[in-house]
Amino acid sequence: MDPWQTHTSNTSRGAQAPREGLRPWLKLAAGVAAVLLFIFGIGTLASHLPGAKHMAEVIEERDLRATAIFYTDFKESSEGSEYIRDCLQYPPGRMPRTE
Amino acid sequence: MADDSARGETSYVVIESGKTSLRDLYTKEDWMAIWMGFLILIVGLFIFVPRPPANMDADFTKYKGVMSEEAAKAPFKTIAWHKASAARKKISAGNEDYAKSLKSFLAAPSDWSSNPLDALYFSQEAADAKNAAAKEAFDKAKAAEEAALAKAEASEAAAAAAAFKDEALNKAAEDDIKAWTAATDKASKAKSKAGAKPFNRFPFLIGLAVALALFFGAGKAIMGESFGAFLPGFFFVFVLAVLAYMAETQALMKHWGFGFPLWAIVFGMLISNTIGTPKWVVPAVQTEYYIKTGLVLLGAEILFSKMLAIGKPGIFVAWICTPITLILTYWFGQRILKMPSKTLNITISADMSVCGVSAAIATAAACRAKKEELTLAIGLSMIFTAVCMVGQPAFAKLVGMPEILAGAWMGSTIDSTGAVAAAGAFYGQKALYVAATIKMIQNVLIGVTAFCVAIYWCTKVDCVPGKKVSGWEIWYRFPKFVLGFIAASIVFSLMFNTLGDDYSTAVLDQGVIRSFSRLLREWFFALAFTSIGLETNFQEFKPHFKGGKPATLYIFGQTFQLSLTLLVGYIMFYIVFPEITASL
Repeated sequence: MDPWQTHTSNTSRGAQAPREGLRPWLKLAAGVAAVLLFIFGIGTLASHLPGAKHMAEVIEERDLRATAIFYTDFKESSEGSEYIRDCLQYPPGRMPRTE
Repeated sequence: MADDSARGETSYVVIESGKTSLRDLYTKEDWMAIWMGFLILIVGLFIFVPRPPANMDADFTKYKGVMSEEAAKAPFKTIAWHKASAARKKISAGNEDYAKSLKSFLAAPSDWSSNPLDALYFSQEAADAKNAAAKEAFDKAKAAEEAALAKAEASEAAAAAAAFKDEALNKAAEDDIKAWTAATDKASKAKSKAGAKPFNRFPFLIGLAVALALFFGAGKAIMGESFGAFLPGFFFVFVLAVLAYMAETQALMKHWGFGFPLWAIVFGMLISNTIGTPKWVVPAVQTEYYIKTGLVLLGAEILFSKMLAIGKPGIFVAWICTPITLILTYWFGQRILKMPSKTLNITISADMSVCGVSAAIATAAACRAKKEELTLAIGLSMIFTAVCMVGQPAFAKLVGMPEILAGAWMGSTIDSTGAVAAAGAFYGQKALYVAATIKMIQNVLIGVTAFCVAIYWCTKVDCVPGKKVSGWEIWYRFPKFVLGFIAASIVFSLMFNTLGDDYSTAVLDQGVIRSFSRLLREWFFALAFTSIGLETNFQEFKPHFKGGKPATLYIFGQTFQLSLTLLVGYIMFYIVFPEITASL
């Protein structure tokens, strides 16, 4: 079986482009090059935007995961909520609450 | 109802057929996703519940006692109060050795900057070099922490000598203690940077790939599909998912919040739109299967008790502003912009108003949006998140916004959960804590959103106008995995309340969820997004860009949310509940 024999069913339309010859592979190489250019080229240039450098320093210094998609994906959500819980349950200068 | 003939030609995130039988319980993906998700959660409970941290109850009692005494003693949070609070936070099943081993096995690739191999393999020499480079910063941070502590102790002693009745001394002590907590935080981060350890992720990733291939392959076999055909393709999808994680962990992309969902789609599309998705890979390109199983796991992370984390103002900011924005944005898309696709409209509205990618996934699955619609919503979200993450704290600083208000505003309006933390940290420690907590409360909304959207679509959108829909019809159309998603949320929320806050936080939240099920959930989403990319054609995006409607919808909704949240946040935190703000 040709390992690069491609799928052409109607439910996966992404696989319908021409797949023979060198051209598809050149397109793939160009796509990979564009991704690398974006990551290392534009990413580097964008870091010179106002505020971006400081933001990057904050993220690095605190080791934040700025890409997290849910609160359980980074520890600051639990640190923050537990700190706030302590602040609300044991507020200074008042009689402690009974739990 | 939506055109079924069209469904055969279009890639939907979730597809439902109009029949039901008992066989569905083991032949349909919706049900299989529920059983597989539940299996993982049960395994997690069996691992963590019998193994809580040693002396957990005694330690909780001790630290709570200290905080209680200190709170009654002084009008500010003393050094002992902060130390007890920090020690209480460290009581976690996730810090146990068995949990660390589990996390190592399930971990994604690590951070890197110029050499991608650093994400997978880090030698002893490289670790030593990194630690040596970070040592100077750590020593400096440690010295600063010690100096800040000495100053705070002296100030607190002076305030105590005046029986905490001298306001100037109290204020000086409070300020010095605040400076010490900030220095402690910096020293702690510097310590972790100076303590890098060598690692080799290759064996773990190979083991994980085999385990996940067997897990999902077994599910496929039970559903009557070919285990042998699924297996080889799965490894291809898994490798692309690993590459997507590696793109996320690259230093520059991490700073901009471009996470694995975006890269998984990009890499998948690069393959499918150039050389084409190989035929032998197709049986493992199972977007729905992975996404539904991941969503059932996500359900367990939606704990309703978290809603109360910051008291009533948090509920108002997160649970009043968000639904208003969601409904108004959807209405704007339908009535004003006249967006042709309702599913794209609701997916962008939920993504923008609730919590970015995770809300988009849940909503798209609940309303059976097309895959390219989910992709478009995620792409928009990531671009605007990058802008808001830098722009909002800068604006807040410019206008001199108070820290708590800035945290609440950013927490409720920046889409991506992680970007909220970054923007909060940019502004200050309290802003970070408030922003992350508000976002956590908002995250809980995705369960309600997905459920309501699924019901609305079954009963209203997918109907012939004027025709009454029977209960059975609604049942046929209802995406069943949403039941598993909601059930997991209810069961874990009930367990959380029944077992008590301390035990639940240490064992369920930090153990079962954060050290086990959420790591698997992320892998499942990475596999799902890779599959989306492998199934999507660039041409499918064209009709959606017509007239720039998605971007207009997003900008309208985001502008409204920014204004409404700022207003409600100010009213709630500074006019209605100022005592809560003062306690933070």
